Amino acid sequence: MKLDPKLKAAFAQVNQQQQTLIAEIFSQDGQSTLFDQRGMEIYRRNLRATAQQVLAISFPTVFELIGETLFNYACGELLQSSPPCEGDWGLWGEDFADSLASMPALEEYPFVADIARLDFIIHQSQRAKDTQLDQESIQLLSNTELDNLQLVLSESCYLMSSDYPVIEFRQAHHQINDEEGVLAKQQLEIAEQKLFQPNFKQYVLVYRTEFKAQLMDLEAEEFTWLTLLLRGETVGKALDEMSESRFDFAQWLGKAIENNLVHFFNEKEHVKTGHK
Amino acid sequence: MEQLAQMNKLEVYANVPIGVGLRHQHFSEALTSSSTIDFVEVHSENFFAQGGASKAVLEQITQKYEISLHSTAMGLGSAQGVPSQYLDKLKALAKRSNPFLMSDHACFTWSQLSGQQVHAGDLLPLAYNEQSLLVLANNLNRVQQALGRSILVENLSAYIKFPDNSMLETEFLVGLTELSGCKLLIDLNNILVTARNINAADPVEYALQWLAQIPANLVGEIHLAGYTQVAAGQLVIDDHSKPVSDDGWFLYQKALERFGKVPTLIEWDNELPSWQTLLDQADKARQVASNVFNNLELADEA
Repeated sequence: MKLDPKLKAAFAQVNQQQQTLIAEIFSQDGQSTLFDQRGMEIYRRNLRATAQQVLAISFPTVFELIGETLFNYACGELLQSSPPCEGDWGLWGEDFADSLASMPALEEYPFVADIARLDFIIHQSQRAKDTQLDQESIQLLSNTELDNLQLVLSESCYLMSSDYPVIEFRQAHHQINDEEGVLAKQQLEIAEQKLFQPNFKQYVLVYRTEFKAQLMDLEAEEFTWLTLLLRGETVGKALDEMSESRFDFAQWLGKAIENNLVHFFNEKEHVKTGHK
Repeated sequence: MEQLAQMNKLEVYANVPIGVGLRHQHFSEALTSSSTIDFVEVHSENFFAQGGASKAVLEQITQKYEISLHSTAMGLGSAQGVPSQYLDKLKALAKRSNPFLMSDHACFTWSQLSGQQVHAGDLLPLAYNEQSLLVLANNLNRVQQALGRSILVENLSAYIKFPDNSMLETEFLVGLTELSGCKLLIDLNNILVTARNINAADPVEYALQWLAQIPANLVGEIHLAGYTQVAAGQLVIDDHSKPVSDDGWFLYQKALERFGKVPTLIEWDNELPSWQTLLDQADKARQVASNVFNNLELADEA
């Protein structure tokens, strides 16, 4: 649609003015040549306070782990490197882990970035579309070639792997009814034991049966399997990839359905919206 | 509830619908206790998630209360436009919650920073001039068409002003209603905050003049809130952290006398009080409204 020239000029002029204001609010030097300094400081303070508040909700373990001062500093860094762009603060923070990984103050704590990744996928899982198994699609299992059969996972399923026991670290910081820290201490002891295992690797599945995200510590082969499914490979192709392992599809499927991991089955040619 | 929705279509209310802002700390009480409020207002973006607990809670809320969807991130005055992705989410939310009112602010939020889209995360002010008005009206028309309904636009409390303002805030807002067919959400606290921040000699008198410049038929909702007092020389922040002030109640009475039986909301976002305190504020608003319209009826009979 072609804009009326007067309207087009108005948009251009206002756009420039608004970009100037935005640049001054996000600027770190705190100076403004155009606007009342007191007012600009309110906008800058609001931005920082909101960013800190929303990231503390999305990254509760990181907040507990590194403390408020460093956490707030990290929020400021993220505002600079990856400012919000969605209008929905709950989606902001995908780059927080990378931002934490590049902070000199956390150089000796490389697991913090992975814990941030875990916090974020848990947060996203808890916002994901509610899905239940499409019972009708199960019949495709009996009348479709496995090479044409796709198993689409629930949208609340997320995977990650880490060189650190991130599940135990998270659980140590989120124990309920643990005023004296006994359960937290137990989790940290388990984490410590795992850290000393040679070539330790943790494979994590985040999933949801109801509202609260659950964590599953996966075997490497199940992680590979789920990765293949998330990539959109057919069941047949994924099983071929798993042929060297002891992976038992039928056994896995029963458990997966019980844990609400499966959204629906689909013939490969059919386009149906599922996990993104 | 259906009655309120029907009345809104007719835009004639037998009594002033009184609501409160519902924040997550009060979800449980709001859902389990009885109250006399007519509606609750929720912030749209808090319910943009496609699933999970917030979606389920909203379903329960809409079964018990009439809903007003108040957005804080649409940025209607953004020269960058309102992204379709945002609008799609708002439209989906409106579809599943069937709000009797929808609103946002005369502000901008979307822009560009270093060549990338950015969301300011705040309600940033607009220059009160023809260019900003054209942008705002154009965006609002697009939004109203996409949603298939009218949006109420709220006056802002701003902490800076643009050097190229060429009209009064009230002229700007009235101009917007003419260009877009929208109605206004008048936030009385915002007028008082602005009055104090521009060092108006008499903030209440400033607010009364402000209200007098808005035609009586253009107001679709009123917001009532309170703010934290600050020391001389400091700017007042519209923090919605206190009960409605005496000045606020006085202005409310005057606003009802001028604008009639307009849905009214108690807005409280920070340092949240108990749910009962919010309901008490709502009762007080109802009492003010009752006094105003009883007196007007008596005057008519006389």
